[in-house]
Amino acid sequence: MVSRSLPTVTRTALLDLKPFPRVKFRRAEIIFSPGDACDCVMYIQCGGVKVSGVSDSGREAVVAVLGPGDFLGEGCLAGEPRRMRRATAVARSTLVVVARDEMLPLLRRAPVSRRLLAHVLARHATMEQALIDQLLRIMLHN
Amino acid sequence: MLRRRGSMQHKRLARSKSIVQHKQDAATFDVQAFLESAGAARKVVSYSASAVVFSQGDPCDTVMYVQRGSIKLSVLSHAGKEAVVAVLGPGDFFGEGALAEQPVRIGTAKAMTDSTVLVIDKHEMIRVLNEQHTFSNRFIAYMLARNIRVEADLVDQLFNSSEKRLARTLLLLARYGKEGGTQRVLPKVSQETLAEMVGTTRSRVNFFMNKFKKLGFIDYDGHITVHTSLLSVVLHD
Repeated sequence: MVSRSLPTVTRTALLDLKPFPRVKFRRAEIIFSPGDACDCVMYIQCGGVKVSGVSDSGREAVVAVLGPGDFLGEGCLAGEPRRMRRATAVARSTLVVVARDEMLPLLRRAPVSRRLLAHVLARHATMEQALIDQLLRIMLHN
Repeated sequence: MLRRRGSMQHKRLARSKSIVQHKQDAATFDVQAFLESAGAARKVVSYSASAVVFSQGDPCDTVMYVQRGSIKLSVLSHAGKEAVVAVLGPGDFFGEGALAEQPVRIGTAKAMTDSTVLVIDKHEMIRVLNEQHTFSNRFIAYMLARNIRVEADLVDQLFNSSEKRLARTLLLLARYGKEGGTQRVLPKVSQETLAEMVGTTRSRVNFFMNKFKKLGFIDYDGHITVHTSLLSVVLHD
């Protein structure tokens, strides 16, 4: 059967992720910081995580707020050697942690790869919109 | 011509194969061949420089792949100001908002130079993404890299001065740090377009371009040559 849309299949994705360790984070706990080694992908089972850029002077700007079903730190799959952003739990959260090398075989399985595809597309759409808003705001002031 | 007919028959055959054979197809699916050629529900379209590929508000039912040339993605504010969101080249996809259920195009895509684009029907794109692992992994890898870039653009916008942003934009246009080495001479980009990419005015761009030229970071006579020394603007505070 040819499906008409991209299925997101969160539950089946979780089944495939069953063998991997869960790590719990308290609210406001930092999950990773810029410069940390970028060697695993995380999947948010429950809770919420904000991702922010940190400037040289320590200012912070949020670039994403993620929830259950989202991936976190997937940049390592694109070969990023170090974390570029700071990730902070915004609620009590449970994350499934998958080492980079263990993620690659998982991507050959449909549920995880489809969930990741839906995630990267959604993430792209929100970031693009934020970038547009920011560009237009700046140009309004010029 | 004969060869094409042959390949179409092959495709029709592939569609009627069993699941087991489908798996075999997945292993042999040629992503590059799919992206380089026209076929069922996908066509190759040529655009001359400054031709519009799609406009803001158009229905969002296709995904595009740049085979050759360069494409500028921009949005227009209510006040009529244009902001350039991305400049894309060969190997890049655009219009992927169709897959994220965007009903209409949020921006306009225009050819900057003569360009060839593969236009893939949304449903065909979804079908291939669902059925062909090699293709979906290639597309995911592309989107991951693209997201890193958009996120960096966003952080740059939120933190940096327009001078730093211009320097960064020029280095990225010169494909600094990309495989295949730095392509130092930029495709023809007007100061107006640079201003729309950086989010500043043309006169500010002009001011900084002259400054970069004076400091020897760029050569600027009609077309722009970027030297790696321009990095110092981005790296220093």
